[in-house]
Amino acid sequence: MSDKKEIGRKILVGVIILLAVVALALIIYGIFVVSSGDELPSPLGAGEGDGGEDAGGIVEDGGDGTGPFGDIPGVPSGGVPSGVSDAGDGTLPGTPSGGVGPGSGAGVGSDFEIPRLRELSDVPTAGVYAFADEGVIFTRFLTRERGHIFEARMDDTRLRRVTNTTIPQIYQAMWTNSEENLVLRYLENGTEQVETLLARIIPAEEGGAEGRVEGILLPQGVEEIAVDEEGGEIFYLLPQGNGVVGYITDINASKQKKVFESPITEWIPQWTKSGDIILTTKPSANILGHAYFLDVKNGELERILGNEPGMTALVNPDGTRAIVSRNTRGGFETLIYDIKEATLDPIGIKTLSEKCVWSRVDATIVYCGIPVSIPRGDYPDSWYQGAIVLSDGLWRIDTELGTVKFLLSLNEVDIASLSISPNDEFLYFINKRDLSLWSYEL
Amino acid sequence: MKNQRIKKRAIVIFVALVCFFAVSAGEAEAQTLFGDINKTVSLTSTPRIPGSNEEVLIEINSVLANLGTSLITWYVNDRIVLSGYGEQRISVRTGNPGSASVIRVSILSAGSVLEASMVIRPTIADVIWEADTYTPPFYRGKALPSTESKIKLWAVPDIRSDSGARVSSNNLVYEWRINGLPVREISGYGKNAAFIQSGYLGQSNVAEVVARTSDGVISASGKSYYQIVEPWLVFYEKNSLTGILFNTMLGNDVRLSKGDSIILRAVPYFFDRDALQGSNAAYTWKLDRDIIDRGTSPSYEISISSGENAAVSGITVEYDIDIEDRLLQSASQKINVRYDE
Repeated sequence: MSDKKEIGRKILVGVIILLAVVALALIIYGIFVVSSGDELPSPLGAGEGDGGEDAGGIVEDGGDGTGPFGDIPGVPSGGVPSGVSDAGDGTLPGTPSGGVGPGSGAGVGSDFEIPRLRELSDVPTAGVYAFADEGVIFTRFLTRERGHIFEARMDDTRLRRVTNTTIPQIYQAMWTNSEENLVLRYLENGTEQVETLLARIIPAEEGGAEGRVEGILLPQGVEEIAVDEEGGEIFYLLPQGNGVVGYITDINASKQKKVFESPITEWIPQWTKSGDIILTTKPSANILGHAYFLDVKNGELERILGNEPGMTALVNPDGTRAIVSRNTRGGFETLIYDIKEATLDPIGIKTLSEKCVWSRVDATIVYCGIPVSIPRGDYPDSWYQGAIVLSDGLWRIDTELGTVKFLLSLNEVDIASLSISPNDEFLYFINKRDLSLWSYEL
Repeated sequence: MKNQRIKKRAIVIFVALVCFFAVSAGEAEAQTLFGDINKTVSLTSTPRIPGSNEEVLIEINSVLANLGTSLITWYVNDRIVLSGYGEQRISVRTGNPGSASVIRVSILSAGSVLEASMVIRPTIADVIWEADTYTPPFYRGKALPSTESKIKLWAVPDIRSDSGARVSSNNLVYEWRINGLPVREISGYGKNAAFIQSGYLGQSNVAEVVARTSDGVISASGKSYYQIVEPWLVFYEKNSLTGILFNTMLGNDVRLSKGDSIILRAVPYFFDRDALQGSNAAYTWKLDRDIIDRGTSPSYEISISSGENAAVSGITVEYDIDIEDRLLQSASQKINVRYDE
């Protein structure tokens, strides 16, 4: 009897030991194997349509349910299982993309913390727009390849396709005063003729997942565009005769008002929040540039600033200051121009005004990508031509106090098209190297 | 006795009259003398036609020998800005077009006060030029002039009348100068825009304009420089899905994976536009120096595939543009396409 008891006791001990070993193995698996993880597929899937060639484009809604997860540059990936299916409601679990900054790092499921720096799109992007809805910031962006519009919630990782209307090879996309209205610019097939489409997003019908884009074409060959982010109007420059004519229209092109005429066609227009249209001459390194307010009542130009070599300028929303870059020997420098006082003062940084965006809540604050180093060249020409690629860090400049604050170091990012959300919650930029889209939470 | 009294009275009256006129004459002479001195004091400005928001040097112009020891007080818009012995010049910053600065100087010399004044009304005449040379779509930079290309000039004057109203640019008289030489054909009433020929490679040029009101009273001046450059060819990749990647210029080498292909897009920066579209243009593609395509119509793209031939490690692609009847309207560019194994 005692032998039986002894045997039973030994069996029990063996089972307990076995269970302990299995439990330990599971723990080890959870810590080391899942954490190290395999490389995650691109957040925006394989190439669109056509033979499945991997061009890093958007996954067609072909019903295979593969959700997008991104490569997470610079982050020790982890914790996120791949191959998550489409939730079936048109939403695709977005990548819990990592990045540097507080809160980065992997997590599993609902405990995952959204990193401050996110790659919203790793495929070429033509434009981005942020808006608030019931306290949540949404970001819409348009991919260059097919012109499809996607929307990301910034308080979680969800990503959804808003429209599936295909308009190939969009070079520029600019939203106006709402998330539904935008201007698209592309080349007529096989030519260098620029087409400009005033577009509206038609939301999905009830029960549908995706909407479509409808629009009206402006005359071919529009040189440049500026949009009124407050009133929704569009200012565009159209070659006529030996010069150019400036028109203001609405998103429906229902009214066309001629407001400007010039024998010079090379202008960069800007429309401030305060309602001013500013025209700056297209720059070249050693050529004196000028910036003007356009009086739309009589077409006259009133000089803001002039006779600065290689000048580019970005006026703040209330039209009181401009961040100005001008060419120096082989490089450039940055200054702040007080429009009322007519004073031009250096601020101790060197960047191009195209790498900057003014705050929407404080007209004295500007955010800029500032190159870590400046290769010798003719600026801004060399940068415009793509002959020189820069690597930037992200900075905040207080033009009232004259102080600068370093925000973020970036890895091989040449910041272009810097923009900002309605209340300065997020910065957005396109990496000129590969046209990917990023967001950074301020 | 009575006659002697009359004589005495006459003499007194006579002497009194003589004294009176003598003093008066002296005074008149003194007044005349000081009046002449006032007329010899004036003010000059440098630059002579000040622009807006710029520093202007105002100086006393006078034949007086003792300015260095005179107490001189300067006023700008009735506010004292400088006062001291021998202060013969000041620097003033002008305002925007339409503003006026009243400069007055008061000189205390030998017990007398001399004054002179002037009014500075800043004016502007920006000169903007534009070359009729090629740049690709969506390019944000300026087209630069190449040899014998056309250049368009435009003057943007800002001249205000006494009331502050801006004088219409169509109602001004323009005098254009290129490299210091007046160009009468493009000058005249209302002629604020003009076409000129660019010049030759390496030349640095200046286009100047003076814009005047019809009565010649108010004027504005401005200038701009332009340098003639060589046109040049560069390559970009054309992606079949996303279009021409103008964001990054291709360098001397590009790598292709086995089985891959690339579309090279040549872009002819700063070629004269008319020359590119003319019948004398020759466009040539070469592969490893062999001409594979040559024509008179632009053909800016070529597709290169890595192929399956393991023995071929790469190929050199060359593109030439030559405009036969146009000086220095030609360029050539090469790129090495390397095949990875």
